[in-house]
Amino acid sequence: MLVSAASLLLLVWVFPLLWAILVSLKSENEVLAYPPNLIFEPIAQNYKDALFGDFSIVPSLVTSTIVAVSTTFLTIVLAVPAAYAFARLRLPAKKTLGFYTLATQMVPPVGLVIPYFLILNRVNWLDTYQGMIIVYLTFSLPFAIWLMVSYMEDIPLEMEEAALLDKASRLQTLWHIIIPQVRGGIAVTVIFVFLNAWNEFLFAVQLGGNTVRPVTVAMYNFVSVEQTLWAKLAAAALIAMLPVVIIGIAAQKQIVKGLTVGAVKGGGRR
Amino acid sequence: MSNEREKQRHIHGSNVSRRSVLKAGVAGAATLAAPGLLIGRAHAAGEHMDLDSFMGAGIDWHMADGAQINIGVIPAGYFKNLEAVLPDFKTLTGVDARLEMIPPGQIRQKAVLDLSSKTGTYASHSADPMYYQLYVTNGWIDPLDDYLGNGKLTDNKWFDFEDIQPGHRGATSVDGRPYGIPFDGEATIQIYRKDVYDAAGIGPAETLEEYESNAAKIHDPDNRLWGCALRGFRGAGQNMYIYPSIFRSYGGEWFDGDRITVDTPEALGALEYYVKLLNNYAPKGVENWNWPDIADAFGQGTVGSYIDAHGSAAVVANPEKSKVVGKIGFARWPKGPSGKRVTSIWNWSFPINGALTDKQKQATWLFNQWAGSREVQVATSYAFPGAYKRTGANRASLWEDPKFLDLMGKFGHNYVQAATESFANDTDPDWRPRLPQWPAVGDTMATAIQSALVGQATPADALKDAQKKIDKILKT
Amino acid sequence: MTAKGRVNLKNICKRFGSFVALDHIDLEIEPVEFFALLGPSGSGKTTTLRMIAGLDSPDEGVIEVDGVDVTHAPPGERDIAMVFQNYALYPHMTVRDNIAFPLKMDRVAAADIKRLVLQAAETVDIDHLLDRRPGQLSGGQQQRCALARAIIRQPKLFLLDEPLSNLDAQLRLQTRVELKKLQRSLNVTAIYVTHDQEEAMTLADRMAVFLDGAIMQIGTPEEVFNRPRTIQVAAFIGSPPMNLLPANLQGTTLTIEGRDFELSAAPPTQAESVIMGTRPSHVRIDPNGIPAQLYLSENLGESYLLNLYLGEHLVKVRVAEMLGVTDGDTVPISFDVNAIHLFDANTGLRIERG
Repeated sequence: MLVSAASLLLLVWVFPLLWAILVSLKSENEVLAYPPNLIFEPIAQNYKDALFGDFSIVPSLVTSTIVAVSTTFLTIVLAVPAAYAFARLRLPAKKTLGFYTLATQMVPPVGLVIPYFLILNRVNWLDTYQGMIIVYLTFSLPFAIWLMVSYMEDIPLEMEEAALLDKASRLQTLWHIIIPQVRGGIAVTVIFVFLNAWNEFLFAVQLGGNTVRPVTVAMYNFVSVEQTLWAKLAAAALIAMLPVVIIGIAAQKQIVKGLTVGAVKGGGRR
Repeated sequence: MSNEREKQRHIHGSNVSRRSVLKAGVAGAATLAAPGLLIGRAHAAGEHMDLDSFMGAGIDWHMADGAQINIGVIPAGYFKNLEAVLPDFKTLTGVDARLEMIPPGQIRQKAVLDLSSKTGTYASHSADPMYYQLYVTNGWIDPLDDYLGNGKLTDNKWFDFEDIQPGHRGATSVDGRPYGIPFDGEATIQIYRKDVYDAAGIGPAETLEEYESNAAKIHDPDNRLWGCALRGFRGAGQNMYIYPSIFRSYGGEWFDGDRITVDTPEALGALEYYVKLLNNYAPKGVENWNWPDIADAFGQGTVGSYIDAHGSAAVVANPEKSKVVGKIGFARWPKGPSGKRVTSIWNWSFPINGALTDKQKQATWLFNQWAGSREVQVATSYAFPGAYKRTGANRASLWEDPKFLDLMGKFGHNYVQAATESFANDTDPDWRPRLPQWPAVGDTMATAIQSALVGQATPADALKDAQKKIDKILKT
Repeated sequence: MTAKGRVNLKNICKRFGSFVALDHIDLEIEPVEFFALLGPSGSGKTTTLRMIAGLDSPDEGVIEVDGVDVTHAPPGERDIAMVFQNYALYPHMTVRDNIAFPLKMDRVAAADIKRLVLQAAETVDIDHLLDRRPGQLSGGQQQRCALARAIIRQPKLFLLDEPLSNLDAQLRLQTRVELKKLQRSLNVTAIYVTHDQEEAMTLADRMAVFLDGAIMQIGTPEEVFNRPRTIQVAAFIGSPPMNLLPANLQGTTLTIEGRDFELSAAPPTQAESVIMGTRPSHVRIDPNGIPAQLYLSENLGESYLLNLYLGEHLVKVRVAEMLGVTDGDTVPISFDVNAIHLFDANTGLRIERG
């Protein structure tokens, strides 16, 4: 009973992906055939076109990678120490952090496009990597800090005190004692931040341009005014999905590791 | 127009074609009519067109040498073709113009953001004709008669602005002043399955009534053939692209003084017709269909007829996507009860951003002029070496050019005639209500039309509700 | 060689908001001493330890280690090791890495680390567990791991914060002995925080009794047990603590509940109102004694503990046998006047008797 419910759920979840995979291997003509051909000769042409054709998504994949990786990297580099400070120091802003984080998620992004546009325009950063990354950071940082604080707070204070007595500096303590224990949290944060930056469209299209043109925007080349090229679109989407899947799998391992560490008895008590 | 000019034009035209046909021959004649995205790779500057033909214009093409301008366009084949010949523009003018592809759903918002904040990011962009009222009311773009009338900037003997489709020129003018140079435009026409119509012993509809009865006659869902389809998806450019034609041919008037009227008896008649037709003879789910969906279904042979842009012929006549190639017939819009046929006057045009420096404005004007010129229209249409040839050429004279007609004639029966006559006779400047609040008005109407289509409201209630909302929009 | 590990606390004061955790305390701990800080929770003993460690700093006063002022020195510079109540092992590291961590931070050569880790692990008998993680160890093993990590650096001071409290009773007794042996063999000053007076009594060379942020008494376990300096210490030390009864002193005559007891000599005090203290084992059942009401008797195995009401005062009496009395009976009791303690009821201080 439970198994069949689970498999049904899985099917519902997997179906769009399967559909995309099938479509990406068909010719445009076959995509629309009714009834759909389940048996067909798969072709790689759509992938070739998506990668090397006139609407090649490769340059935009590079752009997306630069933007998403930089955003993620900077977020983690800044959020980990910040979260540590929030978790350990008696900062007056501590309570506001949660609210501010929620607030950034509450404001409909459309409402922020115009202010961001004007700000970036003022500093001449429209359609630049630094502009796009900074805008993404304004969303990812509060979220990442807020997420990491909860992981950090779970680490007993004595653990750090022990490290300090063991002649570790604050930074060494963070590096050797805290970070390894919040690996799971970092992995979760990495996934969220990377995923958001990679999949972001609204700001990318409004604040980007010819220089910064992430894959989410470039994908629209296949949804032109005249027609939708389903097969090429599916191929492009699947290619664009790949980095997310890779990051997901890599982070998954860290999350599991993080969970095991957290489950240590005695060590987790205050 | 003078004969001499005509001759000159033909000479230039043939110059272009001679060179291009050679390239097209390499590309393969079989793909000639096949649109798609496999267009030619960038060519060396000056390779596409004979630059001498531009020198015929008595202006200094290098007046804005060194300027850099960004042009926002949608990712469409016709702009891709333009991008491919863009190096010629640099050679000709020394202006570095860059096209930026912006998704169709976002280009309006992005343009408005740029114009309203006066950032001058986009010197020009592919503009929606319905937005000109908004742009002009706010003074965001420059009136082009200043440019057209300035002999330093324009040699109208060469440019021949009046040759551009009058419907499109009208759509990009506000209070009689031109604000955009149309680049690519379309007319809506009937597209039908000639084989099916022939077998049923019917021809293309002359009236809306007949269009409905035609649909009834061939309607056979058990065998996966539906009588007809029209854009059903909600949106100012979707259902509110088709409905206005019906509304106008029912004798509807958008304006009653300063007021917009959408709940008149004519409006009701038009909406009831639309709802009844689609509910009876369109495939299920048509309320979510946009033009590509309809064209795809027609291409798969499941829809007997539809009315849409003449450019969609390229999709349904593309053997790579369509199964009905060679079985397609075309005709003008059916007449409505008022006796009028009303086609869309949709086009993408290039305005000039008012926030630019003078030099940039000059550069932009050169670009607009260049892109709208007959030479570039030809070079991106039948003379284009890639597989995709534009069908939406902006010039009336092109629709008399045998080479262009030759290309268009391949789409199917009566295509050229239907399109030409539609451009000539069926365009209506008041096709849709032109006013600054169009984005909100268009959305309101789109919602009302869809809610009537899916039965959430009766057509009468839907229109009444829309009227109330529109009254409010116009008040604020 | 001068022994290392002398600690001096001078006039230490620590407040948390309006709460005074430590009220001007002074303390001197001798080198290689096993020194216990004993007191109920909230008495300031842990705060004292944390200030010695450098994890907290005093609001006033000076802390010296071997004559050097370390009041505000960071923990890492004090050459101090500490065993935490919950051990604070690093869960993501193996036992080996846990023990090695202080040396790594101290930039000791890898080869030396390897040798020293093994040595420390052997000392506490966990050399077979080096590749496990803390989560895979029992409570006792975790505790040993924490000890090994503390001793490996051969610190000047060895701080232990209730290290036995997370162990079960059996293990606690066993570990107690080992801990004492370990400290002796390492020849290092150990400061040991506990609320358990039995631990303090058995382990410590000397101890300080903390109450309400003040040190009530410093001394050897014997001194503290036999000569509690204040009523509060008397009421805290001993299991159960001594009985305290109000009494009246006139010269050599001590009057308790209306009954006079003759002391051998007059105590050196002017006070008439005193508190008489006597350990449960020093109260006798005496047919000529003062009648008291037996309220509850407890069987402690080797002895019985009788809870009696003498007037309105509860008196605990330890007896070897029940002698046929049952709860509710009236039992006459008497005091061994030579073994009683006297405190000035007004000052709370002990009245020393010759």
